[in-house]
Amino acid sequence: MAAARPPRDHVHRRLAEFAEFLRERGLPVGIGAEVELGRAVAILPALDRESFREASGAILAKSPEELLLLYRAFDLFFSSNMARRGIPSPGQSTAVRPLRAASGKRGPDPSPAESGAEPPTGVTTFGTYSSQAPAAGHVLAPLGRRDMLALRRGARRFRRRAATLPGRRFARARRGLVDFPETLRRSIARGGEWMELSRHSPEDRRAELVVLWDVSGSMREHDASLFALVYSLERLSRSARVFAFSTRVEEITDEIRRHGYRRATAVVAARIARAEGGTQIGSCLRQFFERYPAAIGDRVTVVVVSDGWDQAEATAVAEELRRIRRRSHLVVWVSPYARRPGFEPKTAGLVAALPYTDLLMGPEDFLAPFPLPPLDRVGTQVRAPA
Amino acid sequence: MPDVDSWSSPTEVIELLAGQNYIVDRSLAMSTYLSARLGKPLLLEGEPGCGKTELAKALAAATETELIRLQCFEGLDARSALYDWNYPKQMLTIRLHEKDESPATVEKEIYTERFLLRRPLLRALEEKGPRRPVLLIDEVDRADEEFEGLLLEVLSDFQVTIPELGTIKARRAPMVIITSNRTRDLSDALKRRCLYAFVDYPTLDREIEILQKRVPDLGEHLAREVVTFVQRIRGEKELVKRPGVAETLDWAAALLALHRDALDPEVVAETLGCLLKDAEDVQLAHDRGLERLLAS
Repeated sequence: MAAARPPRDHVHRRLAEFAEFLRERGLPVGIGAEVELGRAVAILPALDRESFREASGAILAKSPEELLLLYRAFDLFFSSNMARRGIPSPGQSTAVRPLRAASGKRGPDPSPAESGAEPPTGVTTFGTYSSQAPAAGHVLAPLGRRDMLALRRGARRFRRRAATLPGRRFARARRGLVDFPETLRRSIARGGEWMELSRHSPEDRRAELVVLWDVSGSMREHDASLFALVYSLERLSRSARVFAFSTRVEEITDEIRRHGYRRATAVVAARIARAEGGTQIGSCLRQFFERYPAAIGDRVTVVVVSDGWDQAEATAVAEELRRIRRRSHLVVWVSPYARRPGFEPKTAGLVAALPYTDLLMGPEDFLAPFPLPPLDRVGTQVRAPA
Repeated sequence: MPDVDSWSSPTEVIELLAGQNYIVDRSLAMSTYLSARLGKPLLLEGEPGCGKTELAKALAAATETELIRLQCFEGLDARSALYDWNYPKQMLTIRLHEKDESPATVEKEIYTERFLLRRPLLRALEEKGPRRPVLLIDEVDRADEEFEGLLLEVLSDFQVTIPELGTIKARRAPMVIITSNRTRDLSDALKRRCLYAFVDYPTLDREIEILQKRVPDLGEHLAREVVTFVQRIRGEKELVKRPGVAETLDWAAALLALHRDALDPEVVAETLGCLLKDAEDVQLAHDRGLERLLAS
């Protein structure tokens, strides 16, 4: 026998409270979704706990990670002893320094290990890489949703800049496929007379990307925000590949591709935890060439995410980057300090790399609401003479 | 056969799909039920070979309605997904009427429904059958991100605007199933318009149940052996491509064709290609030891 339904007002109030509770836990529940859930409740044959849980999952969650979050929050909210005052605030769930804060005006926030506090929920700590790195380890934690959306938009702008492959949109061209609608339109304007065939060809909209991400000790304080950037770049295209390096190179594309962002942070942290030693950029670039020769091509944009600290000879960096530059479409260097006031490239690796770099960017460039600076403007600053 | 609009509970969905040999858990049944009753598209994500596409096929078969399928690929555009004009026919018409009709009249004539080529999305909206058709938009993550923008109008209002003809609105909204293998993130706008379900690998008992339904001639003992082996190999984290339910079914069918009633290392080695589709994975299985993987 179906359970008796509570009064509609009561149900709606509980729904609104539940939606608010989910928002507090970081699940973006809009009014539209709330209304949908209300409609769903009305057509459920019985308003039992399990049915409501499943309906909430179908309507409010949009990824496996959100499903997990929702189910946990559901159990918490509808537990018999729900006391919201006892529930930790969502503000405690992450401890990531936002990218916008990296303006050079304030120092890095202390890591949980440094401050002696317990690691916050969702934070994955992985081992120390470099003998020079502080002993606190690295913190890889998910960024907030707003920052991720901004990064994703920035990554899309970047893709347009780096595009080398035809996309879905066509543009008028002298050569290419016959544009029948345009030809037809023109012929009609001339009384049905075929004067000439209009042609069009696909615009370059898609990019092939290879991301080389420095996970050495000196990058420790930027790990979380740069991983968010690396993740956003990887998700831009099906063919993008990501490699993490410190003293050796490891491909982490699958770890990113197979998981949503939050899960990927944990999986990638575990994967690169085995990395050891300091940074040897030149040696890593050579390893990359030897192990993954097919990854580079004349349509591929190579993004190196590194501060340029290098323990080995900087000449090796120059030599290897020159090889990469010769075989790729673009070489872009993302330094976490590039947009800080008064920044000057001083690290040996970066100084050696600049002549073979087309674009020097900071992570903040991906968050800016305006288009990226033109390539030639930046390129002339740093590109080596041909 | 009840139409989807008259479904009364998720249990009814489970029973209907079971009639098509599709075993569905309660959570997915709930998503399907709500999708049908609320008229919202259902986005299914999960690893390849877990039955996302099969759900759409089983739904269409269970409701005795047409399955309209749009297979997504890189470069898919409105001309392949929505509609196109029949240009050769239009050109012929222009030629035929160029002497006795004014250009304006010809233009008016060639942009009519007679010259319209209907692609899957438009066909689904114009379907005039007695029941709501099932529209399967398969592997949407293979299409470009811009293509998702095209889907937004179709999925939110079930209508399409053709500049030359106006807005075409569905008489009855199709039941839309969208699948994605999660090779890239889908846009928030698209996700917002859909209900969501994640189709994971089934549990041991559920997979045995599926196997017995889909390959009924397979003995109970062999079915358990096959699924146990598959679940063990699926647990290997180093695999390039973990076998899905589709591979389990293929392997079981192969064993049946070979008249096997039990697994042994020799037959597993001979038929491993049905299960693992990457040379490195096959090597990994051998490295782990087929005897060990088979041991109960």
